[in-house]
Amino acid sequence: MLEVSLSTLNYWLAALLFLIGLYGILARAHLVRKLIAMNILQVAVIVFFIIVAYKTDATPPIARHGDTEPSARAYINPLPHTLMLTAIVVSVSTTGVALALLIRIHRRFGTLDEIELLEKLQ
Amino acid sequence: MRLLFQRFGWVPLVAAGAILFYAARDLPSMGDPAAPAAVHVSPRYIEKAQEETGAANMVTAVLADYRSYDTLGEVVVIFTAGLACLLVLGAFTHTDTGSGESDGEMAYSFGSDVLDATIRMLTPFIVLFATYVVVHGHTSPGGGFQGGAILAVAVMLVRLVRGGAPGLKLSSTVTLAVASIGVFVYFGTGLTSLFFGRNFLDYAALPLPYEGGHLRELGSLSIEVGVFIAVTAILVLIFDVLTAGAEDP
Repeated sequence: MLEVSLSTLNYWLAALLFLIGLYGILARAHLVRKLIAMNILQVAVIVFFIIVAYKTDATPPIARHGDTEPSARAYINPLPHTLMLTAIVVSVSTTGVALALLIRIHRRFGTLDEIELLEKLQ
Repeated sequence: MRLLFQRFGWVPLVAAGAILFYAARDLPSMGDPAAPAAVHVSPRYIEKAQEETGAANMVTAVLADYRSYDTLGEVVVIFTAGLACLLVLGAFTHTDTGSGESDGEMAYSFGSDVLDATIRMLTPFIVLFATYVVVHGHTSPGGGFQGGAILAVAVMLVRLVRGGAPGLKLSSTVTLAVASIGVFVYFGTGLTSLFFGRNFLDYAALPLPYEGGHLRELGSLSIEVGVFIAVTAILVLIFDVLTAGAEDP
């Protein structure tokens, strides 16, 4: 039972990070804080995938010099790493566009606070 | 309504947390070589990547060869993001922006003599490292995305320290054009193999005097260079667009 919970602990930490991000997105009124929370959420997903890729007693997925027939047991799973490289790029793209939108909102309304924005919109 | 949500906002959070924590107990134990994620297509990538694609770095092999079609979409995503930033902030319309916003010049810098001297020493090494990361992406950790990010950081550091110093200003049209060249290099590699009678992005068809893994390695290096150019240009573009109208703090 103890062993199971130790292995699960990593997943729980990733889930906790995810929940922190989710809480920030739901509960914070300031839009920049929402954006930071969204980034935390994305990091949680990335961490989760990196945990999934791990294998005990395996090395990073770069073939050692002279290893002409790499065995699947000796290297960790390269696929989640590739996918997360992609996810980081998406994260940068969404952050960039979101920041541009925030600057636009600030120019138009002079505030980034959600409550003040709702008042000004009415 | 708003108050209600603020008071009970934790309810969906606790529900999501309970589901996540409960479900995590059923996941395969960490580091298990027989976990579902590690048994289907992943052993094939590990065992054949070096032989088939010539890349010792399996992440690069998957990114630039086995799944290069996905990566093409990825480059287009980041290109679109740069374009979206430009359009959202009205870089092409000069109507509702204030004074000095559309000339692409930062209004402030953190410049001092120490920072200036440091950045002069650091920049060549950052550029060299970025080039190394791209060129050695097949044999060590690295690749087009990483190298592009590092080179973009070099440009951003110089911008932050020296502001809109002469010779460093790139208009958003120029960076966008450079990014288009990067995307075009990627597409061009794919279209070349299409032209020589194989599938799109099948590097085995490239008209180069190499065979097998070496030829595929050159093909994926070509698209990595395309990614490198596009990512560098787009990150610099996003930085320029976001800081264009900044006021002196």
